[in-house]
Amino acid sequence: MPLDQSKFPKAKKDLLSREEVKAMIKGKGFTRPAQCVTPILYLPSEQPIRQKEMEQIIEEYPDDAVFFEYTRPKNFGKPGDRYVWCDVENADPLLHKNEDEVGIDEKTALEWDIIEQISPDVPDPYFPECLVQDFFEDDGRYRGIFWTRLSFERLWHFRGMTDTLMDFYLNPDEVKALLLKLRRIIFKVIDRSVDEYNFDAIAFTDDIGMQDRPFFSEDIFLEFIKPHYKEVIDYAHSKGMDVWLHTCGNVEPFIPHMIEIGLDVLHPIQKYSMDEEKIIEQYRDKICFWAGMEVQRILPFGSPEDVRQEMRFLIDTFYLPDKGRLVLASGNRFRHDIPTENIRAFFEELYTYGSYVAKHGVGKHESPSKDHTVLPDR
Amino acid sequence: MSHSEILANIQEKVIKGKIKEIEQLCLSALDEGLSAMEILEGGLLMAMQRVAEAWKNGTAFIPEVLITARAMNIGLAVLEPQLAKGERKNHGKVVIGTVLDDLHDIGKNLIGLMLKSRGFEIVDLGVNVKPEKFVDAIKEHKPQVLCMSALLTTSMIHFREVVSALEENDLRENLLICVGGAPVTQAYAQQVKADVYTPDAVSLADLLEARFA
Repeated sequence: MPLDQSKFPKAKKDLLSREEVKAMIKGKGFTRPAQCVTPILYLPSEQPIRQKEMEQIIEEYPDDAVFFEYTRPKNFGKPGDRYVWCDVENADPLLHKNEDEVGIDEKTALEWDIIEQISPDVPDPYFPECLVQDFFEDDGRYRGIFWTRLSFERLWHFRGMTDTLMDFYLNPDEVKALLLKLRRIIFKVIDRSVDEYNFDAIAFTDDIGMQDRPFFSEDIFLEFIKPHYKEVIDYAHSKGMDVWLHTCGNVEPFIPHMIEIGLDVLHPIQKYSMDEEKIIEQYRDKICFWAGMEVQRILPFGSPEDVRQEMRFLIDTFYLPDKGRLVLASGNRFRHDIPTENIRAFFEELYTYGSYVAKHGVGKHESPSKDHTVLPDR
Repeated sequence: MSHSEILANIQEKVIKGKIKEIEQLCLSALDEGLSAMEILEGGLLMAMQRVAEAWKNGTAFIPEVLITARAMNIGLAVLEPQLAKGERKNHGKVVIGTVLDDLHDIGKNLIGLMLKSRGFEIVDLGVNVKPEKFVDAIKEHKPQVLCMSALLTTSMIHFREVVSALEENDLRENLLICVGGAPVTQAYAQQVKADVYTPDAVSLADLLEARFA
């Protein structure tokens, strides 16, 4: 399906086609950097106050790569639901948590003996009602499925974060068995995404970084996480899909491993957690960066000009002339403390400066964080 | 096995997360004639110190810190009845909690575990804690320290509300207020009139121990 620009009547940009985004990812791109923001946003739940405004901005600046999410069935959590993560009676942490007490872990963490009772075939991604949310027909853009919780995030969904972090030492065999079960589910998601929807990619979330370092050591990554990632990536590649990954925080020690096992796109290279310039110097042209503008200081508390300057810095840093290797987004959700004028500046500059560098080459803009500290005024 | 070998063995087992062996090792060490205080200081606390050093060097991560703190607390349960009264100083009381609109609690849990193992009494208010709940807890427990955590820019603004509420209730004086969490900075901590900011829970545990021990 060729890209038809007339399908986007309100767009203030020329969109990239599926082939152009694929070329951008593989380092064969001659276009501007691609935009892929909406999978990070969760617009309906995050932006109830200004949803119309946000939708208008997205209509003016549509993503070049779009991702769909699986939806829960209507009977989610009710008898007969085969999409639950835990079908042991009264034990599903999603349905029985009480977050206002001592903490999430204490109220939701499952013991291993409960986990072992979970039926092997839930959740079932082939459950008839688990369809792709807000689906629309192929319009010539690059398309994918967005699936949350690739490994660590799903482990702590079951076990709680505190227990999961200790499980790597105390219950390693159980951790590996749970990851194997998870892979079987992910493989089904990949199959369905290719067979029924012919998607180009699968994007995962898996926050394995904290602000200043990863959650766990490289040894733990090598023993538990890397083999899991590799099998998932190999399977997706065997079906012709690219693999995108979002992980918050500092994951610097893991990046060479991610490149080695063939991860295609990595988000967001979190500012203040990692040095973007050092990362690009080390891994230039070895992976496509889905650079995410930080949401801790500049987007919420900076001026629109700060946002524009940061966007120029990101593009100058990550965009490789004649190769591309750059998709752009925010680093995380646009929460309600991010002014709408900053969001507009973000999208405008992404397109305007992105188009400029594709024609004229990159500049040397510095991040506004270099010469002043952006602080909240509250 | 000499006494120093016994203590070294306890340290190694704690650091390697052999939690199931800690209780028995402490009991055996007592049988071998080591005092509870010697086992505590030369075995458990030394292990914790080594992990804290490794954290500072960037070679230890959360699992190692959690495992060590958990092992320390298991060992303490064995040793405490054997400690002479007053031999282990109580460093004071600390109220901890994640602020309103925020459910992230790994940092809060970590500071609770670490401070408990270092001789502080912990009152954990949980997550999504309203300012008035912090105020009530300070009134009730009269702690020396309040630690508040926030992971989101939209929730860290509640630090200031808590500090103001404490001021209004004449509870601010003689209370050390510590704040932390991913988006929090030293400059922001000053802006909300907190006393202490550290970039992570391990550094905060060190700082409080040095201050109150």
